[in-house]
Amino acid sequence: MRYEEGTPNLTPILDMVFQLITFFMLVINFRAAAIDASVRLPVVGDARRSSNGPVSMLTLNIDSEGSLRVYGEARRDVHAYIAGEAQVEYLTAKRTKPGLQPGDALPTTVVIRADRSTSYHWVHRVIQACQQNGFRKFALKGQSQAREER
Amino acid sequence: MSGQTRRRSQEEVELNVAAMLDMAFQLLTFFILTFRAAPLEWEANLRLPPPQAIKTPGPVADPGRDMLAGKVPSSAINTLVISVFASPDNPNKRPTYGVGQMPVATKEALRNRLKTIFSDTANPFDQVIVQVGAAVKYQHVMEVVKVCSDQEIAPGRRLNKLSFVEIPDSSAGAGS
Repeated sequence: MRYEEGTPNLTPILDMVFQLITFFMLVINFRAAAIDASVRLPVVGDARRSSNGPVSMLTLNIDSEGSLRVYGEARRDVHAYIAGEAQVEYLTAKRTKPGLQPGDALPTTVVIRADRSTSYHWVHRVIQACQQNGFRKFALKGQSQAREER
Repeated sequence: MSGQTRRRSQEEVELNVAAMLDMAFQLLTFFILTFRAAPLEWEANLRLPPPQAIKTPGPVADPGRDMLAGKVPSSAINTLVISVFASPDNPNKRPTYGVGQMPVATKEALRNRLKTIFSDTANPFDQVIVQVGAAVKYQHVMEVVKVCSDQEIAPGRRLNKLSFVEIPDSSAGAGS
Protein backbone atom coordinates (compact mmCIF):
# COMPACT_ATOMS: atom_id res chain seq x y z
CA MET A 1 0.00 0.00 0.00
CA ARG A 2 1.37 3.29 -1.01
CA TYR A 3 0.88 6.23 1.20
CA GLU A 4 0.49 9.52 -0.66
CA GLU A 5 1.06 12.84 0.94
CA GLY A 6 -2.09 14.91 1.10
CA THR A 7 -1.56 18.58 0.66
CA PRO A 8 -4.60 20.82 1.10
CA ASN A 9 -5.27 23.25 -1.67
CA LEU A 10 -4.95 26.70 -0.11
CA THR A 11 -5.99 28.66 -3.17
CA PRO A 12 -9.72 28.98 -2.34
CA ILE A 13 -9.04 30.06 1.22
CA LEU A 14 -6.58 32.64 -0.06
CA ASP A 15 -9.25 33.95 -2.42
CA MET A 16 -11.70 34.31 0.46
CA VAL A 17 -9.15 36.09 2.59
CA PHE A 18 -8.43 38.54 -0.23
CA GLN A 19 -12.15 39.18 -0.57
CA LEU A 20 -12.36 40.02 3.14
CA ILE A 21 -9.28 42.25 2.95
CA THR A 22 -10.75 44.12 0.00
CA PHE A 23 -14.01 44.63 1.89
CA PHE A 24 -12.33 46.06 4.97
CA MET A 25 -10.03 48.26 2.89
CA LEU A 26 -13.03 49.79 1.17
CA VAL A 27 -14.95 50.47 4.37
CA ILE A 28 -12.06 51.73 6.44
CA ASN A 29 -12.94 55.07 8.00
CA PHE A 30 -10.17 57.10 9.56
CA ARG A 31 -12.50 59.97 10.46
CA ALA A 32 -14.34 57.76 12.92
CA ALA A 33 -11.26 57.84 15.14
CA ALA A 34 -12.00 61.47 15.97
CA ILE A 35 -15.50 60.60 17.21
CA ASP A 36 -15.87 60.11 20.96
CA ALA A 37 -18.50 57.47 21.64
CA SER A 38 -18.98 58.61 25.25
CA VAL A 39 -20.67 61.79 24.04
CA ARG A 40 -24.40 61.22 23.83
CA LEU A 41 -25.72 63.31 20.99
CA PRO A 42 -29.08 65.07 21.27
CA VAL A 43 -32.02 63.29 19.70
CA VAL A 44 -33.37 65.24 16.76
CA GLY A 45 -36.65 63.69 15.67
CA ASP A 46 -36.76 62.23 12.20
CA ALA A 47 -33.21 63.06 11.39
CA ARG A 48 -31.93 62.51 7.91
CA ARG A 49 -28.54 61.06 7.25
CA SER A 50 -25.95 63.75 6.87
CA SER A 51 -24.43 64.42 3.48
CA ASN A 52 -21.07 63.06 2.37
CA GLY A 53 -19.42 65.81 4.32
CA PRO A 54 -16.79 68.37 3.49
CA VAL A 55 -13.27 67.38 2.74
CA SER A 56 -11.69 69.39 5.52
CA MET A 57 -13.21 68.88 8.97
CA LEU A 58 -12.30 69.54 12.55
CA THR A 59 -14.30 67.39 14.96
CA LEU A 60 -14.82 68.71 18.48
CA ASN A 61 -16.41 66.45 21.08
CA ILE A 62 -17.80 68.29 24.11
CA ASP A 63 -18.77 66.33 27.20
CA SER A 64 -21.42 67.25 29.75
CA GLU A 65 -18.89 69.18 31.84
CA GLY A 66 -17.78 71.39 28.99
CA SER A 67 -14.42 69.76 28.33
CA LEU A 68 -13.20 68.89 24.90
CA ARG A 69 -12.72 65.15 24.44
CA VAL A 70 -9.68 64.61 22.26
CA TYR A 71 -9.00 60.93 21.60
CA GLY A 72 -10.46 59.99 24.95
CA GLU A 73 -8.65 62.68 26.89
CA ALA A 74 -10.49 65.58 28.50
CA ARG A 75 -9.03 69.00 27.75
CA ARG A 76 -10.12 72.17 29.49
CA ASP A 77 -7.81 74.50 27.56
CA VAL A 78 -10.39 75.05 24.86
CA HIS A 79 -8.99 78.28 23.44
CA ALA A 80 -5.43 77.02 23.24
CA TYR A 81 -6.46 73.78 21.59
CA ILE A 82 -8.67 75.46 19.00
CA ALA A 83 -6.02 78.08 18.28
CA GLY A 84 -3.53 75.30 17.61
CA GLU A 85 -5.93 73.48 15.33
CA ALA A 86 -6.74 76.72 13.51
CA GLN A 87 -3.07 77.26 12.82
CA VAL A 88 -2.78 73.79 11.35
CA GLU A 89 -5.87 74.30 9.20
CA TYR A 90 -4.60 77.68 8.05
CA LEU A 91 -1.28 76.23 6.91
CA THR A 92 -3.08 73.35 5.20
CA ALA A 93 -5.50 75.66 3.42
CA LYS A 94 -2.66 77.96 2.34
CA ARG A 95 -1.28 75.15 0.21
CA THR A 96 -4.30 75.23 -2.05
CA LYS A 97 -5.05 78.94 -1.59
CA PRO A 98 -1.75 80.84 -1.48
CA GLY A 99 -3.61 84.14 -1.17
CA LEU A 100 -5.09 83.20 2.18
CA GLN A 101 -4.12 85.70 4.86
CA PRO A 102 -4.18 85.37 8.66
CA GLY A 103 -7.62 86.40 9.84
CA ASP A 104 -9.41 85.25 6.70
CA ALA A 105 -12.25 82.77 6.96
CA LEU A 106 -10.97 79.21 6.97
CA PRO A 107 -12.56 76.67 4.61
CA THR A 108 -12.58 74.00 7.32
CA THR A 109 -15.91 72.86 8.72
CA VAL A 110 -16.04 72.52 12.49
CA VAL A 111 -18.09 69.49 13.48
CA ILE A 112 -19.48 69.94 16.97
CA ARG A 113 -20.57 66.80 18.80
CA ALA A 114 -21.80 67.85 22.21
CA ASP A 115 -23.48 65.78 24.86
CA ARG A 116 -27.22 66.35 25.04
CA SER A 117 -26.96 67.40 28.71
CA THR A 118 -24.23 69.96 28.12
CA SER A 119 -25.18 73.49 29.10
CA TYR A 120 -25.24 75.91 26.22
CA HIS A 121 -22.64 78.04 27.99
CA TRP A 122 -19.92 75.46 27.26
CA VAL A 123 -20.99 74.99 23.66
CA HIS A 124 -21.06 78.74 23.13
CA ARG A 125 -17.55 79.01 24.52
CA VAL A 126 -16.33 76.55 21.91
CA ILE A 127 -18.23 78.24 19.08
CA GLN A 128 -16.86 81.63 20.07
CA ALA A 129 -13.30 80.31 20.25
CA CYS A 130 -13.72 78.86 16.76
CA GLN A 131 -15.12 82.11 15.38
CA GLN A 132 -12.25 84.08 16.90
CA ASN A 133 -9.81 81.81 15.11
CA GLY A 134 -11.39 82.14 11.69
CA PHE A 135 -13.78 79.22 11.51
CA ARG A 136 -17.08 80.12 9.87
CA LYS A 137 -18.60 76.82 8.79
CA PHE A 138 -20.09 74.62 11.45
CA ALA A 139 -21.91 71.30 11.50
CA LEU A 140 -23.89 70.55 14.66
CA LYS A 141 -24.43 66.83 15.09
CA GLY A 142 -27.43 64.97 16.45
CA GLN A 143 -28.88 61.50 16.22
CA SER A 144 -32.17 60.22 14.93
CA GLN A 145 -35.04 59.09 17.09
CA ALA A 146 -34.85 55.56 15.66
CA ARG A 147 -31.31 55.08 16.81
CA GLU A 148 -32.15 56.33 20.29
CA GLU A 149 -34.93 53.79 20.73
CA ARG A 150 -32.65 50.86 19.99
CA MET B 1 20.27 5.02 -6.13
CA SER B 2 18.14 1.94 -6.51
CA GLY B 3 17.99 0.16 -9.75
CA GLN B 4 14.55 1.35 -10.38
CA THR B 5 14.46 4.01 -12.94
CA ARG B 6 12.13 6.71 -12.06
CA ARG B 7 10.36 7.89 -15.08
CA ARG B 8 10.68 11.57 -15.35
CA SER B 9 7.24 12.89 -15.96
CA GLN B 10 6.49 16.47 -16.56
CA GLU B 11 6.78 18.04 -13.15
CA GLU B 12 4.15 20.46 -12.23
CA VAL B 13 5.39 23.59 -10.57
CA GLU B 14 3.37 24.23 -7.49
CA LEU B 15 3.39 27.58 -5.78
CA ASN B 16 3.49 27.33 -2.04
CA VAL B 17 0.85 29.83 -0.96
CA ALA B 18 1.10 29.12 2.76
CA ALA B 19 3.40 32.09 3.32
CA MET B 20 1.17 34.40 1.30
CA LEU B 21 -1.81 33.20 3.28
CA ASP B 22 -0.06 34.06 6.50
CA MET B 23 0.59 37.59 5.28
CA ALA B 24 -2.97 37.90 4.11
CA PHE B 25 -4.22 36.87 7.55
CA GLN B 26 -1.97 39.49 9.12
CA LEU B 27 -3.48 42.19 6.91
CA LEU B 28 -6.99 40.93 7.54
CA THR B 29 -6.45 40.99 11.29
CA PHE B 30 -5.18 44.56 11.09
CA PHE B 31 -8.19 45.77 9.12
CA ILE B 32 -10.64 43.94 11.36
CA LEU B 33 -9.13 45.43 14.50
CA THR B 34 -9.11 48.96 13.06
CA PHE B 35 -12.58 48.73 11.57
CA ARG B 36 -15.05 51.12 13.11
CA ALA B 37 -18.40 51.74 11.51
CA ALA B 38 -19.23 55.37 10.90
CA PRO B 39 -22.25 56.27 13.04
CA LEU B 40 -25.42 57.51 11.39
CA GLU B 41 -25.76 61.07 12.56
CA TRP B 42 -27.81 64.06 11.61
CA GLU B 43 -26.10 67.38 11.14
CA ALA B 44 -27.11 70.97 10.70
CA ASN B 45 -24.70 72.76 8.41
CA LEU B 46 -24.60 76.36 9.48
CA ARG B 47 -22.67 79.49 8.71
CA LEU B 48 -22.01 81.43 11.86
CA PRO B 49 -21.01 85.01 11.10
CA PRO B 50 -18.33 86.71 13.19
CA PRO B 51 -19.56 87.59 16.65
CA GLN B 52 -20.77 91.10 17.28
CA ALA B 53 -20.60 92.77 20.65
CA ILE B 54 -24.06 92.85 22.16
CA LYS B 55 -24.73 94.55 25.45
CA THR B 56 -26.94 92.69 27.86
CA PRO B 57 -29.44 95.35 28.97
CA GLY B 58 -30.57 93.54 32.08
CA PRO B 59 -33.10 90.94 33.21
CA VAL B 60 -35.55 89.82 30.63
CA ALA B 61 -39.13 90.56 31.59
CA ASP B 62 -40.53 87.63 29.68
CA PRO B 63 -39.34 85.09 27.20
CA GLY B 64 -39.41 86.35 23.70
CA ARG B 65 -38.47 89.84 24.64
CA ASP B 66 -36.06 91.06 22.08
CA MET B 67 -33.02 91.97 24.12
CA LEU B 68 -31.58 93.84 21.21
CA ALA B 69 -34.49 96.24 21.08
CA GLY B 70 -33.23 99.74 21.61
CA LYS B 71 -29.62 98.57 21.57
CA VAL B 72 -29.25 98.05 17.88
CA PRO B 73 -28.24 101.13 15.94
CA SER B 74 -30.77 102.59 13.56
CA SER B 75 -28.68 101.53 10.61
CA ALA B 76 -28.86 97.92 11.77
CA ILE B 77 -29.84 95.20 9.40
CA ASN B 78 -33.25 93.59 9.54
CA THR B 79 -32.92 91.01 12.29
CA LEU B 80 -35.12 88.24 13.56
CA VAL B 81 -34.48 87.26 17.15
CA ILE B 82 -35.39 83.83 18.44
CA SER B 83 -35.13 83.36 22.19
CA VAL B 84 -34.62 80.18 24.16
CA PHE B 85 -34.52 80.38 27.94
CA ALA B 86 -34.17 77.61 30.46
CA SER B 87 -36.89 76.91 32.97
CA PRO B 88 -35.79 78.73 36.18
CA ASP B 89 -36.56 75.81 38.49
CA ASN B 90 -35.20 72.99 36.37
CA PRO B 91 -32.96 73.45 33.31
CA ASN B 92 -33.83 69.92 32.18
CA LYS B 93 -37.45 70.88 31.65
CA ARG B 94 -38.73 72.17 28.36
CA PRO B 95 -37.38 75.71 27.84
CA THR B 96 -39.43 78.75 26.97
CA TYR B 97 -39.29 80.07 23.44
CA GLY B 98 -39.89 83.43 21.89
CA VAL B 99 -39.86 84.99 18.46
CA GLY B 100 -39.14 88.68 18.52
CA GLN B 101 -41.39 90.14 21.20
CA MET B 102 -43.83 87.25 21.19
CA PRO B 103 -43.52 84.30 23.54
CA VAL B 104 -44.19 80.90 22.01
CA ALA B 105 -45.48 78.01 24.06
CA THR B 106 -44.24 74.90 22.28
CA LYS B 107 -41.75 73.81 19.70
CA GLU B 108 -44.51 73.18 17.17
CA ALA B 109 -45.85 76.67 17.73
CA LEU B 110 -42.33 77.99 17.18
CA ARG B 111 -42.11 76.05 13.92
CA ASN B 112 -45.45 77.40 12.72
CA ARG B 113 -44.60 80.94 13.74
CA LEU B 114 -41.30 80.87 11.87
CA LYS B 115 -42.99 79.35 8.85
CA THR B 116 -45.43 82.24 8.81
CA ILE B 117 -42.64 84.79 9.16
CA PHE B 118 -40.44 83.35 6.45
CA SER B 119 -43.32 82.89 4.06
CA ASP B 120 -43.42 86.66 3.79
CA THR B 121 -40.75 87.06 1.16
CA ALA B 122 -41.48 90.76 0.76
CA ASN B 123 -39.50 91.59 3.91
CA PRO B 124 -36.58 89.18 4.11
CA PHE B 125 -34.39 89.16 7.18
CA ASP B 126 -30.72 89.93 6.83
CA GLN B 127 -29.81 87.95 9.87
CA VAL B 128 -31.37 85.56 12.34
CA ILE B 129 -30.11 85.66 15.88
CA VAL B 130 -30.77 82.90 18.36
CA GLN B 131 -30.30 84.10 21.89
CA VAL B 132 -29.91 81.22 24.29
CA GLY B 133 -29.83 81.18 28.05
CA ALA B 134 -26.56 79.85 29.42
CA ALA B 135 -28.29 77.07 31.34
CA VAL B 136 -30.28 75.72 28.40
CA LYS B 137 -29.34 72.16 27.64
CA TYR B 138 -27.77 71.41 24.29
CA GLN B 139 -30.60 68.98 23.54
CA HIS B 140 -33.09 71.85 23.55
CA VAL B 141 -30.79 74.08 21.53
CA MET B 142 -30.50 71.44 18.83
CA GLU B 143 -34.27 71.10 18.68
CA VAL B 144 -34.48 74.82 17.96
CA VAL B 145 -31.66 74.55 15.42
CA LYS B 146 -33.55 71.78 13.64
CA VAL B 147 -36.71 73.87 13.58
CA CYS B 148 -34.73 76.78 12.11
CA SER B 149 -32.86 74.69 9.55
CA ASP B 150 -36.14 73.20 8.33
CA GLN B 151 -37.44 76.66 7.44
CA GLU B 152 -37.48 77.60 3.80
CA ILE B 153 -36.53 81.24 3.35
CA ALA B 154 -36.71 81.10 -0.44
CA PRO B 155 -37.75 78.41 -2.92
CA GLY B 156 -35.21 75.63 -2.58
CA ARG B 157 -33.19 77.51 0.00
CA ARG B 158 -33.23 76.68 3.67
CA LEU B 159 -32.19 78.81 6.57
CA ASN B 160 -28.56 77.99 7.33
CA LYS B 161 -27.13 81.27 8.52
CA LEU B 162 -27.61 81.86 12.21
CA SER B 163 -25.90 83.88 14.87
CA PHE B 164 -25.84 82.66 18.42
CA VAL B 165 -25.83 84.87 21.48
CA GLU B 166 -25.47 83.60 25.00
CA ILE B 167 -27.64 85.26 27.61
CA PRO B 168 -26.51 84.90 31.24
CA ASP B 169 -28.94 83.06 33.49
CA SER B 170 -29.57 86.12 35.64
CA SER B 171 -31.06 87.87 32.63
CA ALA B 172 -33.93 85.40 32.33
CA GLY B 173 -37.10 85.57 34.35
CA ALA B 174 -39.00 88.42 35.86
CA GLY B 175 -37.18 91.65 35.29
CA SER B 176 -37.40 95.34 35.21
